[in-house]
Amino acid sequence: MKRLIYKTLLFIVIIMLADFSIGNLLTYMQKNVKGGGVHDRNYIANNATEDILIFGSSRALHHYVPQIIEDSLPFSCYNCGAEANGAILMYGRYRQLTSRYTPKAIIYDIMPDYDYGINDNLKYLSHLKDYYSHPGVREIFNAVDKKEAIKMHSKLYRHNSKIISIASNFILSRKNMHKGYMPLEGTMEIIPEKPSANEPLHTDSLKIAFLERLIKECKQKEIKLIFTISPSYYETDMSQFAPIKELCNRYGTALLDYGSSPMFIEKREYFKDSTHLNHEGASLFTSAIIHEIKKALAL
Amino acid sequence: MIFNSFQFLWLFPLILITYYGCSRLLNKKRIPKASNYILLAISYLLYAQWNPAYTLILLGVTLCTYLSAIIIEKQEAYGKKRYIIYSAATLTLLPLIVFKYYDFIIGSFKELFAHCGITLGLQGLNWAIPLGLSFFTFQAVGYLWDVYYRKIKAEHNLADYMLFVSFFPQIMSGPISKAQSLLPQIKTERTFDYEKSVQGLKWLLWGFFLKTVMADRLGVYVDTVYSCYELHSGLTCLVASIFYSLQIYGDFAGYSLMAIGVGRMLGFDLINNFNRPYFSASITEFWRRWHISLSLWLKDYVYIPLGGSRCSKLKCYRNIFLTFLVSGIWHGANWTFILWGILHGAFQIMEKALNMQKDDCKGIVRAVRILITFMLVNFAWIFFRMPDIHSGLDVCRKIFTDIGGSFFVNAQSIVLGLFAASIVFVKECFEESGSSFTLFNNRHTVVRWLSYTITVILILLLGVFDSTQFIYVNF
Repeated sequence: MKRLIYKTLLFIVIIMLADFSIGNLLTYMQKNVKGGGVHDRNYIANNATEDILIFGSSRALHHYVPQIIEDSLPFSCYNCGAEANGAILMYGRYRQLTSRYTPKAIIYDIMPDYDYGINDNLKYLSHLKDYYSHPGVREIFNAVDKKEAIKMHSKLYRHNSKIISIASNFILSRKNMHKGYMPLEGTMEIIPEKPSANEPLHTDSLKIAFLERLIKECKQKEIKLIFTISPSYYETDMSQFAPIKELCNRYGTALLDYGSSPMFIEKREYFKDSTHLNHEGASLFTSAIIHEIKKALAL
Repeated sequence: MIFNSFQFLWLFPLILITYYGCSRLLNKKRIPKASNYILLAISYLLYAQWNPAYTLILLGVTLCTYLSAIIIEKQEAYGKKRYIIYSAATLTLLPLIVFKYYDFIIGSFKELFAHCGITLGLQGLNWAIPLGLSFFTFQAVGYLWDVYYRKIKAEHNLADYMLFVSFFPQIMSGPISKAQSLLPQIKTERTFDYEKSVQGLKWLLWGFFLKTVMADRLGVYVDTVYSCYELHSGLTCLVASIFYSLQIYGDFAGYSLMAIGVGRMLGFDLINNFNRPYFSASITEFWRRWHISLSLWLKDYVYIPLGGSRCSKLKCYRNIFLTFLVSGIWHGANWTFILWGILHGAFQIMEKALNMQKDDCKGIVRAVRILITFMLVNFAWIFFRMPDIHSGLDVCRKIFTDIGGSFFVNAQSIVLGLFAASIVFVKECFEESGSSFTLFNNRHTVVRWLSYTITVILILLLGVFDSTQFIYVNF
């Protein structure tokens, strides 16, 4: 047994050395990427100072054109949306950004599943692992799962699932020229059947807590927070948005609802798929929402 | 205890130290078989951790089969013996039927009567299925039949028998052990063995790689496509189906390896559950290599009692069909699993009818047969994975009629998943070819340690660590 224990300890030491050396190499690469998604994440965490920020899931990422907002309003804009992410990452990004400056407004595109639906919250920490030492980020990890604090001692674990993006972004220098926005080209190939009524969405108290904190802290810092429901191909099932409506009513936060806008419903030419606008649709939607944003910002 | 959980990483070393440490201490104080009592306590505590009330189910199944076996052994009259075995087997299977199949049976009857315009007012139970119920029930029922057929003597030591049924490395998802294999090991005094423990650790590590790096990584792509297959092309659905075949293999073989590894570290030799199944040249051979413990159970307690192949051709085909019908039913309370089982039965009947069940072909013929077998198995897995037969048929229709169209690219899961799958494929090619080249068991220490280190690095960098559970835990 002693022999096994000694060899196991020796193996652990070897792993720790490998973890430290390869982990630091990956950290160096991650911090010095030339373009791509990693570069965008670094920009949001370390450099962004735009007046208006877009928050939300892939629907935020693909639906809001910062250039149109900048052309229409006397403010700069950056799209901080992230695929398959919601309240947990967005609160983390809020803390990263506001530790350096105070934006004028945040436009937050709500996606019920990611923003307050019950699912595995660990996956939402992925984009925050590289910034674990940033102010406010560690407490998010503790809130989601205290065991993450132990795992985060591993530098390799911090780069879990990201080796391809880090390596490719380190080598390639293609920067996002659309201020975080990712246009989708083309139109829907397959029109799905109209969905039947969704089952009631059970809310995740942790995600709701992060949304509430975001609302309260924005109020304190006088950041204008505007929640939005962007269009889908079919009319949005509003029952899924009851929790955010309740929050907005409680805190007097604006909620702009384009989920049932006839401008977009069943208009195939504006959609890449049933839940994402293409670039043409995103441009039209952003132009339509500008007028509401101006009102909300009292311009 | 889930093997790829954080809890396992810190709890299992404690269990190991407690097990060997306390055993040594208590044996010195002449408390015989202390290690068995410790393992039994650990097994029940771990089971209770999930749901304390369900340990009563485990205990009930254990006591029922324990007492029934003793009564059967003492019984001389053949008629009474048969009566006792059938009653005991039915009683033992009752929790499995109630927890796993009641809702399905009620739901199916409701649907059937609804088609006739009759509304049945029966309510489902909606109870959570006790973890490992399918596995430990079959293990206990197998023991009962072994006593009945006089393959083994009834176990009179209750503690030993309780440990046989509840042994924690295998209770959740197998392998299903035979009493004549595991009980003698329980009765033998076990001391710490360095070589066995190292081998166990290697299997644990490789199982972890199979599960977290290959299975779960491919599972990300599979889940994304299958959750909205209507929006994807036939080509994407085909790729997802192949990925699922690899995912379920990595998941189940990974778990089995970890269970066998943990068992080995505790001094037990559990049955190897997988033997490179996707290198099979026929469906018959596939079932000699996939979930071996279940295949043996079905052969010994369903196929052979029905008559096996020692009967007319038609009866033999019937026996194969019924055996795989039982296999499908065992896998889950859904018509998809039953269809999956029937498909495998049908494939084997065709092989037998065409005299293609033998695996003595070589070279290019064998390669082609391996490919065909894989595609047949892959096709059947579609029904295994989809929530209902209609969706399964839809996916199949898409694959055969809509093979064009755009291919859904999720670069990360495809590249990382295929990378892991190719490592597994290369390793298994070497093993299948009988090559002596190996990394984990290489004679050079540097090669071995480098392999272990790279495997751990790959697990940390590429493994999926959010909430993914073993597929077969659901059974």
